[in-house]
Amino acid sequence: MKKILILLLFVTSIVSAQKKEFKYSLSGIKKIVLESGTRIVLTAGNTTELVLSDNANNHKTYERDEHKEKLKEDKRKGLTAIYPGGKDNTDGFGFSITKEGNVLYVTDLKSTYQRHGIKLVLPKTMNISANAGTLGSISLEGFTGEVEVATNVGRIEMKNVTGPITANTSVGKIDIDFDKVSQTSPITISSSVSEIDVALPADTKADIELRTQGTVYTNFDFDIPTKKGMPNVSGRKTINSKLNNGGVKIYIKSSMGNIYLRKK
Amino acid sequence: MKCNHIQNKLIGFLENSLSEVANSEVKEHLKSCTNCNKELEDVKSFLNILDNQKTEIPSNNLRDNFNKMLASEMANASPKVIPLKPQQDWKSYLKVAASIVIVIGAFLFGKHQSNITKIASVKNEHKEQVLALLENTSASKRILAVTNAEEFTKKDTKIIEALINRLFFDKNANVRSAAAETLAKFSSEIIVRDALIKALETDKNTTVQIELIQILAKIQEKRAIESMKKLLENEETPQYVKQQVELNLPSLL
Repeated sequence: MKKILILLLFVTSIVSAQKKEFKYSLSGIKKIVLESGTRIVLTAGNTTELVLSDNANNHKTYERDEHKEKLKEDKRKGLTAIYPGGKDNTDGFGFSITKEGNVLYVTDLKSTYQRHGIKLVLPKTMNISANAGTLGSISLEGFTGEVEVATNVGRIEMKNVTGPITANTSVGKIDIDFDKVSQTSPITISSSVSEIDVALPADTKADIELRTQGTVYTNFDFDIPTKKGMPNVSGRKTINSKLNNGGVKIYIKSSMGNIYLRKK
Repeated sequence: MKCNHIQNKLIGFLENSLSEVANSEVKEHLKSCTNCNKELEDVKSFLNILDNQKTEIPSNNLRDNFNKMLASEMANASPKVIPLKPQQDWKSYLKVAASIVIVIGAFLFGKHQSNITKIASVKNEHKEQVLALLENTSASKRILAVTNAEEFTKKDTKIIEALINRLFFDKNANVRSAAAETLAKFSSEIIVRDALIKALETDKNTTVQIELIQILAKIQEKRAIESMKKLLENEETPQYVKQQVELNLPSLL
């Protein structure tokens, strides 16, 4: 009897744990394509699994609504949520996970209004492609694989990354702090209006191309050629320069925002 | 007949060079045949005349003269012989040289030819690589391919088509805008211009829109005026894109 009780406790604890966290094995997966319209936080961990959890912004509200949540849960008993975007195969987490070759597609099925942020823990070397939709933002840290992110109004924040990075946003701010710069393939960071802030190690070898109608601020030594000839009609200005005798291509383009390029 | 046969052997008979059988045969016949005896006498007297004839011996002067002449002739001929020899050598050297030149030439030509094909094949290989890279799952690799595509000429329609394909259908805005930028370098091609105008009408990403507005203004594509005006009229167009249109449109008018 006691044994059964312990077992029951164990099972319930697992079930409750599953509610807060969803794990998915990543054996054979090289790239994760994530789509969600919320605040996405990605962290690198010593794991071979994908660990998905809610990352609600305000825990206090969460607690206060606990009673309400319980009522809601009672209502949902015996029913399953269905979504127009696909089938939920994450135990009620509202995500659809599909595998195609060595690519794993993780698609958020819930709308932006019901999500209050998600958190994913992924292997450090995983290649990531994340799209935060119209309103979502992306923040990630510690990845050494290729990172590809796109947001519309949300902010893009990266720390301790190596590249290759491909980031695009329309209005969101971009902050990228490189640990070191991978020489494998180009780094592209672009935005329409917002400012872009990039920090590179001082010894980074790169061919830098900066383009903005705003202003570029840097503490790197740039050899700016004196311009002659036709004035630029569109106001489009490009600065090309080699850092430490050149290396991988780094494009930083903002239509109107300022560019901050920092030396670490 | 018999007499003829005997008469043919008379000289041999007189010089004792006949076989014994033939000798006795001639003797027998001469005993009975007066005609042949007469012939024998004739041959004998003819041979006697030949024998008695004194052999003329050339004087020693002749030999000396001849030797002198030979020496002088040799002296005359030798200067001619000397230049002849090197001339012959020169010719044969020339022949050897020519054959070497031909061989080396053929080798170099072949090498050059193979180099040409090699360059062509390397270029082709490179083209295939770029085309393959344009389909890579990594956005960064696709951008690399798009910028590498710059080095091809406008004759590489496959490359241009692949770039246009990227411009329209790539999921990543940065790839689309890089494709637009590279395509701007092929703006002498009408399909490229058409594609850039069409992309301005269809692309929803503001970064790409702004890139296209700037490119179309730069290549002075007047047909884009209409699309730009449409963007201005469209309520969904963000203010900052409209700003770009307002900034660039005057240069086309």
